[in-house]
Amino acid sequence: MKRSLTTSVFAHGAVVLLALFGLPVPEQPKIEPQEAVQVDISNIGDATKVVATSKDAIKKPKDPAATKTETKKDVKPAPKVAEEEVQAAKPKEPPPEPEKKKPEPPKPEDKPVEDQKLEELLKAEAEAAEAAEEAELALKKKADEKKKADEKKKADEKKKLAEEKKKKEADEKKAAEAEKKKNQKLDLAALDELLNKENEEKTAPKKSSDTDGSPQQGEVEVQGDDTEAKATFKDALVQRIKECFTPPPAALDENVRILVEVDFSLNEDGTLKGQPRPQSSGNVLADGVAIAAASAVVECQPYNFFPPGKYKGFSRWLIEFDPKDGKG
Amino acid sequence: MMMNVLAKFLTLLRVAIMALAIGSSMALAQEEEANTGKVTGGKIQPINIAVSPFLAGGGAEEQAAMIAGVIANNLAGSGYFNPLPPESFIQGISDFEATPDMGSWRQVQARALVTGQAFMDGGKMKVAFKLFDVNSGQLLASQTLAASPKVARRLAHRISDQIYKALTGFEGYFDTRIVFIDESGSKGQRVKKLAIMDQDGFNPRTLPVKGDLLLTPRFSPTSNEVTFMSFGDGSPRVFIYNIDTNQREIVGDFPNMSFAPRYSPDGNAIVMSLQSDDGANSNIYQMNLQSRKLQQLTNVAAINTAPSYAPDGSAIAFESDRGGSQQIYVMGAGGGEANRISFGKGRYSTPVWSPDGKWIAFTKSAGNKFSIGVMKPDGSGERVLTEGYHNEGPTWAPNSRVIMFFRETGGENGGPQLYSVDVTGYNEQKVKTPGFSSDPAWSPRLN
Repeated sequence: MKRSLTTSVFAHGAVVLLALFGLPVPEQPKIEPQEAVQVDISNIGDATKVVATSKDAIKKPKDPAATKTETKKDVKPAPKVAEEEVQAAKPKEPPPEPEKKKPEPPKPEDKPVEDQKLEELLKAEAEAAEAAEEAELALKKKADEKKKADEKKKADEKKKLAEEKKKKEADEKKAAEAEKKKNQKLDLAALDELLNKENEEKTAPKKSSDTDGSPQQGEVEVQGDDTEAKATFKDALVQRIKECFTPPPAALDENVRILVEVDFSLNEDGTLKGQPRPQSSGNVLADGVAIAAASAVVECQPYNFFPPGKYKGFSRWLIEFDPKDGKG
Repeated sequence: MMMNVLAKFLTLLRVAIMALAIGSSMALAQEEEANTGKVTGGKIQPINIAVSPFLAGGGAEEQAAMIAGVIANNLAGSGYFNPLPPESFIQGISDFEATPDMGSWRQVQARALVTGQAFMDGGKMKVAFKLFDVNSGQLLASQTLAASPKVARRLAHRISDQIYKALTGFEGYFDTRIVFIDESGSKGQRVKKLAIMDQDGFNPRTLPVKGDLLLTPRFSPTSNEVTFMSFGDGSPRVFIYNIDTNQREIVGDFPNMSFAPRYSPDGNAIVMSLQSDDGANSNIYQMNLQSRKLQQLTNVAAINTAPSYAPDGSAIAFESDRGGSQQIYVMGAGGGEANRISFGKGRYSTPVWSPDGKWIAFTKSAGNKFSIGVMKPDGSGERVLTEGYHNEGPTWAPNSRVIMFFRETGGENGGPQLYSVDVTGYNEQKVKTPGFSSDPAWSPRLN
């Protein structure tokens, strides 16, 4: 950045000097605006009418796909780069601000008792015992209060308990998903290590922290290494997109080798900024792969696992799709 | 002088603004430099597709409903699609011309959407469809077809072909027919009649061909003729039957049995086996249908039979026991030296060259099992697609992606049934026929 600015300043200066001393009386300059080249992307199916998918066409406001899309799908959420280790170690979602909740007696209608206990255990060591006592006292107090409650309230409580049960089941589900994510993350970590083989001092401790249950939240951030953070984010992004990529089966034919590229930008919340831009080749099958690739990019959003504070520089992506995995 | 200074100043200002703009855009470009990554492989799984009920007008209501159903059924049968149940659709299509709200189709997890309409126009039925990629909103294919309402099902097959091609990359095969042998009667006294149906099993009917014991029907390249072997009036002979005119014609007048016929790719000739005078052997001959000239292609004291042309007409695959057991050989279309290509354990028979020329399908018997498999024309890449008590008689869909065959079930009440399987070995399905059926032959795409 600095280099380019410096270069730019020098270039400005040189141009100004040149203009001051070297320019004759000017004639009318003929500067014509350069028009953007528009590319038709797909033409699938012979003898079929196909809408040219130029960038302009995609940006049409009436096109529903041009808006940010809500995505309901089976795809597993991709691991959050910085939060993954925390989730991997804790069977349940950690409370964001444990200190605030600590002095308050646990409310059964808010969270299951077991959840509260777990949260207490996760607090700072110095406060842990006290917190547990408080929690127990509060629980007893709450239990007494419950006994005194009138019938209507009991009915309400029952209702709430049912909700809690649901909540608990949801939590258990979350925990199972977290376990899944953990496994996925471990794979990614292994891949990450391979990618950064040369960085020996980082690989060993990272691996142990991944597996010994003592996670280091925001590890990537702490290291402050953009290259590594990008590699990790890229792995997660690629893995996520791959889960949605269903190329035309003909692209897997043994005599075919198709590579396509899709260019897209992300908003800070991980949703797509505009539409992905697949690069057209003019080949019908390649265009089919390109559409499937762009479709996967749309389907798998949001990619909301930027390392904290790392959105800048991570927003624009050019992803190559190789359905045959280098074979053919 | 003053003018010159002013002009210089203006130029300077203009250049400065330009330089500033260039500099800013350079900085911006650097800021937005793309990160790169690579997605390798991908999921191969049935595509969730929503076939919206077709809109109807002018007396085409019945056909409109039927067409959407046929399309969904075709796509499901291919194994590459998972048509979503219409009951799950959140939003109906009420205007064919309007762009559908992709959000509601995403909610039902559709990846592709088909909309359409059918209406009568001057005695003809017009059917229009659109295929969308739901995630990107892109229109992948659209077309309007017009024909007599009597052939509404064929229009549905045509549309299915286009959808299939747009999303799989393979040519479609739905607008095709199957000839087969319809078998009736008790196991020991079967009556075998030539029958024909659409590829989806619809509209099966027996053809009025003289004779009640027919075998090995094969379509001509134009799909309007079938060649087969029939015991006819006594000794087995090869015939040609014209579906349109119901005319039957014997192919050549030979003293001994003629069997296992198949058309050449250009339709000008038929290859078949002729039995030797002593009845112990058979060799392969080609008969030109115009000149009626007969050419002997093999001359080996063995049973040489089941010839099948390469799609370019340059070579013929056939089975022969010249080496001691039934194996598959390949020779030039003009005969001459033949190369054995099957070397696996067991006996190989009924080679059938795929329409794209890449594969030869075969029947293999080893142990007590009969399998259907494929191998490359040089004998490499052999793989079994299905295996069982008795599988036989493979035939290729015109897109070389699907193979149909028949499977015999044992027991007193058992009999042959038609099945199809993807060339990958997946998606094996029973093909609905009215009764027992054998010896299927897939037509080329209809015109």
